[in-house]
Amino acid sequence: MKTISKFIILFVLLGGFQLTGFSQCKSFTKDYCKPKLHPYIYNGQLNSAVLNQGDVAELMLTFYSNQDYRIVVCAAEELGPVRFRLLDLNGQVLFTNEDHNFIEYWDFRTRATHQLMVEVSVPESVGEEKLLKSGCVSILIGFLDNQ
Amino acid sequence: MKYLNWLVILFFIFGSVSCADKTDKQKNIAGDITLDKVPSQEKAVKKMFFNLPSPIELTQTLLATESAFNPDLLNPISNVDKYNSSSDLALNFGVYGADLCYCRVYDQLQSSISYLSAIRKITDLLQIPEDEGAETINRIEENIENRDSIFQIIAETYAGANGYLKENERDLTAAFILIGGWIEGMYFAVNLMDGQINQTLINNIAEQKYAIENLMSLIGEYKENPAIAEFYPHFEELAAVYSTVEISHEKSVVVTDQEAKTTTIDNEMKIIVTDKQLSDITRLVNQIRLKIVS
Repeated sequence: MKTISKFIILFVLLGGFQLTGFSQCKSFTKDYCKPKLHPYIYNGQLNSAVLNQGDVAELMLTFYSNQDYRIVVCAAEELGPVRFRLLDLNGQVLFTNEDHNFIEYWDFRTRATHQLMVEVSVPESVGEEKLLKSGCVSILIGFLDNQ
Repeated sequence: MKYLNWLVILFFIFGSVSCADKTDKQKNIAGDITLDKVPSQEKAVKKMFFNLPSPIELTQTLLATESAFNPDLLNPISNVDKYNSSSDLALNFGVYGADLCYCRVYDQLQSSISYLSAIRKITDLLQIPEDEGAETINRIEENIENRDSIFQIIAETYAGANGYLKENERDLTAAFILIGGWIEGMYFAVNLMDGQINQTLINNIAEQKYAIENLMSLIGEYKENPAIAEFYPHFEELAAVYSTVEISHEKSVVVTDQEAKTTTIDNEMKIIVTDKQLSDITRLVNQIRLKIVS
């Protein structure tokens, strides 16, 4: 009976911490990442997750013709400089922040409508660390009111 | 000794949550989609997001078509009392959100205020706390005449609801809001097309081929859920029609104008969509929208 109780407590705690992780991620996105979208209008979709070193996340999104967009990718400091690339459906790399000192955002306009992929890679751990670092990564999309 | 056991247990919990083991590359976080896809750089993709165009984007593209405001396309406010289940409420949160954007894009201030009240009611019924939804709605009322502020606040309202629902493991409800908003935007587009040949509008409708692909990926993991199962075959049929719409692109070129400080992804796009495909899309969108609002 005691063992069962322990497992129940463990389960609740584990669930609680995961939820806390997401809550912290949401606060991180709101307080730290969203202001970087200004003056672009946020598309209102929260793309954030707790990632580990070496993880990759992807976002599929349609960008409409003659609209101005900003992509913001921001990550918890402990993860180090996070790489993000914009690729078309043929796998052609249209932008990588590696060429721009790992800048956290990119502004662009699309002449035609495109389905593009934002690919985010958290750097691998270095050295002999046994435990991976993990932290929140958010991908936010904003657009300008062109009217 | 008892305390030592608990310390070990707590260490295990913290270790498993914040210091994931190196072998744990496929762990599913907070109910999100885990994929086995291996992209070009040969790393497993841990997290895949699919976004739908926001109602603001969709309604803005309608303005470019120079079509007149048509109030008959809106879902009447009086319908709000019909919705009881969380899926109906969430879908119509999206619908009314798109209606609000449509009214605001066409500067219909009085109608915008009316749609706000419907959204506020649904926010309450979905038990989204005030600081996540209603508070921003109050700000819309205060800024109703400032177009930019309104769009920012609508976006924040969506984001607040989206974030709150995901945080509380109500991902499907969050998805329903996006789906409702997208279908209402599509409903405007297909019905504004009615009786006129407007190539911009036709292209806008055809370009939603990508959005329906994203939508199918978004709802695919929930297709056994009774609330989504009711709509899934209709969306599947719509996706099947869209799969026959041809969109081709030339190779993209990224052009940077140093003087204007702008970067453009430049290429030509070719769309081939037939009258039959457009009529099928119109029929299916109207069917799904009717199912959502009635």
